[in-house]
Amino acid sequence: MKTPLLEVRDLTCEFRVRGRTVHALNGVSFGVEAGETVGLVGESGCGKSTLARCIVRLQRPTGGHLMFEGQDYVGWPERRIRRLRRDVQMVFQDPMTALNPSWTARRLIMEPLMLHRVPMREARLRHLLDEVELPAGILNRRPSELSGGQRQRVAIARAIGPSPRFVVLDEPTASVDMSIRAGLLRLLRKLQREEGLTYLFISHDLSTVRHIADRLLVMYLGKVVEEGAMESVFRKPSHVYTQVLLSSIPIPDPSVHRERLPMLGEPPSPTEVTTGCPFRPRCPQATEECKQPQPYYEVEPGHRAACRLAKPEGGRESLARVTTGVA
Amino acid sequence: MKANLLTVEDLTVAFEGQSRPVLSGVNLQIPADGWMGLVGESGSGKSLTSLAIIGLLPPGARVLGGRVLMEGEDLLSFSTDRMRRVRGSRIGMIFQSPRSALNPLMTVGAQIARSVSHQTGRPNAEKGAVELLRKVQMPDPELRVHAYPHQLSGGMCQRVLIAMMLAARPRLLIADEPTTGLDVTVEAEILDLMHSLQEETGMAVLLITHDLGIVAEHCGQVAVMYGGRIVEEAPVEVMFRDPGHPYTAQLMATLLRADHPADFAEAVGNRQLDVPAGSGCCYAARCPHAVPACITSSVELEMAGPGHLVACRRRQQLAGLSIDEKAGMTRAAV
Repeated sequence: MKTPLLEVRDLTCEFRVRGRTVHALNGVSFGVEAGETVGLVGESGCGKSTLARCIVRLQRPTGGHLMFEGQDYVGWPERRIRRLRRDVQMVFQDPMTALNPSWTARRLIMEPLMLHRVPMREARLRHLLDEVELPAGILNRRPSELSGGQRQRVAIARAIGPSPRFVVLDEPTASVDMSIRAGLLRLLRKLQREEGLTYLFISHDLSTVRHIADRLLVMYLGKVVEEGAMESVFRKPSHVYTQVLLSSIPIPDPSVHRERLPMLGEPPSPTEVTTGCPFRPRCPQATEECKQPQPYYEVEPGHRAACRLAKPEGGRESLARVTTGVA
Repeated sequence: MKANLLTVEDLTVAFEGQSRPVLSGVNLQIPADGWMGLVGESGSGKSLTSLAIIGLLPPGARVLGGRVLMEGEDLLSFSTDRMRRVRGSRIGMIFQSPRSALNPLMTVGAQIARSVSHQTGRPNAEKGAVELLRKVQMPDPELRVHAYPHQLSGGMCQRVLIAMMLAARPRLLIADEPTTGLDVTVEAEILDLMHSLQEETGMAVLLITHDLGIVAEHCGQVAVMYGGRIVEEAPVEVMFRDPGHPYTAQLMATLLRADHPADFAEAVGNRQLDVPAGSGCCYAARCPHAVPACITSSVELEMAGPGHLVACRRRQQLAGLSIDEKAGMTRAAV
């Protein structure tokens, strides 16, 4: 089996909040192959952003493994991590808060080039501007003097400056208008092809994710409940949460009428440890069986879901059970 | 054709010290029941239009002209006191950040009760609050009635505000991005709830949003704003099938459908005209079909079909083009 570029194995991350433990990540496993885009969706508080911060090691996980090209970097000291960040970069959700407001675009784009000792920085800066389709005239402007789309392009230029292999994109289009969104997505796809990038694309907007990602991870309360090729998950959503989620997306076409699937109650608190399926308290189809830890059942090759309803007929579950997360 | 509940006529608003108005001649007819959508990008004047309607313009903004007619009266001529009575009784409003619309120092029950007694004059309205919370499908309403806003999720706070609207029973509910920032599952629940509220009370809803998916699902009529003007208004099916204004076409061309992935639309060429401020069509600088006349002289909304108004000089020449052609965009697999 091919070694994935990035592998996350049994990752846990806990926080102490007012004497209680929040289980932000509760045993997350998956792999990302070089050159692909993996979309990660889930509701707010499900651990998406914590996972992103763990992968770039802005956050230290409590347990589990993070591997880049087969090397486990979860326990590396900060100095070694800084070198890793040349390969593993991140674009944050809101460039208005992620970019230093008193720095010019030139300084913002230059900073990572200097940190990572990129040679011929002036030439690289010009090339980056071309790559993210910004005019040279913006170099002396500060974030507040840029449009939302331009700000996010500066943030992208910062991330790809040191020529990383892997980029975590945390809601990169959430802060821009819809007319700008398509342009940014097209740009990200172009950069991926030209620079040979691999993306983890985090979003709560499934319409966007469907257009950019090859594979989809669905998280619920600190766990990956379903994972598979985008088309396979949309064609055959197999965890009840995924089914509810997909049925809730508004479709911009007045001639389409959907049947929305219901959920019970309100979102559970991440301080309560649930054994078994994390979606159980809200699931209209939950049974006693769901109180037990749910294995992943294979739905189609490379597509698995941790839901008893995804169990193949005839009890083949032990064969379909996947533990390493690499489908 | 049903009568209109509220009519905005030539509404012009400017900020002090700025020569160019932020709203210039906005015309809008809100039908007496059903949902009307108001869409446009940030800064297009959607929220300002709604704030002008309810008399809550931010400091520094002044109405330079126009009227807001509701049941034969011009709301713009009302005194502050009289307008305060209109808000909540005849016009209700819910906002994007529901928690900031609630008083952090009062329980949600007390706030709902105040809204109930304000409307009915009944002093012991607290009992009604539980009932209202149950109606908006708040889990454990007996418990939640004693909760403070910070103890509730964003979705639950929005339910509280909807409960207050249910008590007030306004004729018009203005909902400004009511589900932005909420999860897609919660968003769907809140919108469904607003729908049953609308059906129960027969009120009109003006939904301000940037999400055309929500518009397609909930609204009957849609108005599109750009640069402080309404550039198009149409029944929702017409708007999505055959938009008349190049800006609306651009909105439709850049839509992403989760059920139907397509290649990204991209502008043909990079057109940016130098257009002097204040004259001509507000979209001329970005419009792929602009001719010199678009820049020099202004353009009014004109009837393009039943309930369909378009403010574009080139409307007739563009008729028959595809949405991508009207938007000046192509699609290429990247």
